[in-house]
Amino acid sequence: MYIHGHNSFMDKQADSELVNLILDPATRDQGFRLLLTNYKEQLYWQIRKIVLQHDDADDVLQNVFVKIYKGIKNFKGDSKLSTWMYRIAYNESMTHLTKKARHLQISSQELQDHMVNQLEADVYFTSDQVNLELQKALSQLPDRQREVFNMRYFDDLMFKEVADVLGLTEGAVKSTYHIAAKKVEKFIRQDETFTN
Amino acid sequence: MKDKQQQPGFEVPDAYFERLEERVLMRVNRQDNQGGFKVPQDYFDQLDQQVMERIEDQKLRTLKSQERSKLRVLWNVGGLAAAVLLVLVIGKNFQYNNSDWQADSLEDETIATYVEEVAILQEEEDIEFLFTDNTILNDISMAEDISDKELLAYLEDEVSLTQIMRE
Repeated sequence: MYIHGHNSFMDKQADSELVNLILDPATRDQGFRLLLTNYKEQLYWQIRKIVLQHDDADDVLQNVFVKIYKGIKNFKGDSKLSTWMYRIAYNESMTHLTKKARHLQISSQELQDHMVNQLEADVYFTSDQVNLELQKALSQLPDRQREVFNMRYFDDLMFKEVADVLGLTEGAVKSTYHIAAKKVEKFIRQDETFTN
Repeated sequence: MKDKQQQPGFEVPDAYFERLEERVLMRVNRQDNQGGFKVPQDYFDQLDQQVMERIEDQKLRTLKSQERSKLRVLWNVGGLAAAVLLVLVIGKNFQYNNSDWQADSLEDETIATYVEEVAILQEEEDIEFLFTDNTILNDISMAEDISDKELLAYLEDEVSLTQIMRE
């Protein structure tokens, strides 16, 4: 399993070998299966934190891998392979949410509230009230702040990597994370679940 | 912590190392727990196969889509060719119809050649009829020279009254 989060020469070399394996028609499927094995869980959880429902995450994840399969020839190696794939996953997840909001004819914020409310009855979400309240707190954040918080807090990405995925400067990511963390902290302090 | 492990010039927050273990365990727990989200049993084991199937399905769709595109191109080109042909035919017909207005300017020889070549009157009977018709017309014009007396005598000699009644 690839360990993400810290750039190194080893990562770059492994990425490069993997990409070359996929680009060679003779080893394409073998290489892609290796990529799937290495990155499926990481990408799943990144997507799941955005779309919240397992069925949605599964659908988005499979679409992401189809796009990766088709678009791997466009990977230039400027960034880490995981960052490049994360960007695809992030864009695909956001597109999914936009379509879902349009389908339900509700705003982006209403969709977040709707999704968090559904979590209470979701069999694939723990009945732990603390986690539910944390998700409620995150749902109150603007999209960008929520994403930065998720990537940094749950996925343990470095600020530089978050900046690469979202196309922001490292400074902007740091200040966005700081603001998001303060808001979450404030929400938690006001919430009875955490204070009792 | 032993002094030899301290680095001159560097400091850490108060009680940093005392709470480090707790914080590391919290982080590990947070990542294992995935914020309360769970997946169906064996989900990741079956995912590879599902993704590969979806990719194969996409490939098939792309192939079908390309075939449909080719057919669409053929259909469009065929339609365009038909339209061009139609325009040409209509244009030719329009030109032909307009040429009637210039018929006076055509010489007799040209018309005769055209009739012969295009053969408007294809049957010999049609041509004979034209001549017959002309003979009748000629006879009528000649009849103007016959006097009433001669005409009456002709009728009395050649045509009976019953024949006239029958006709």
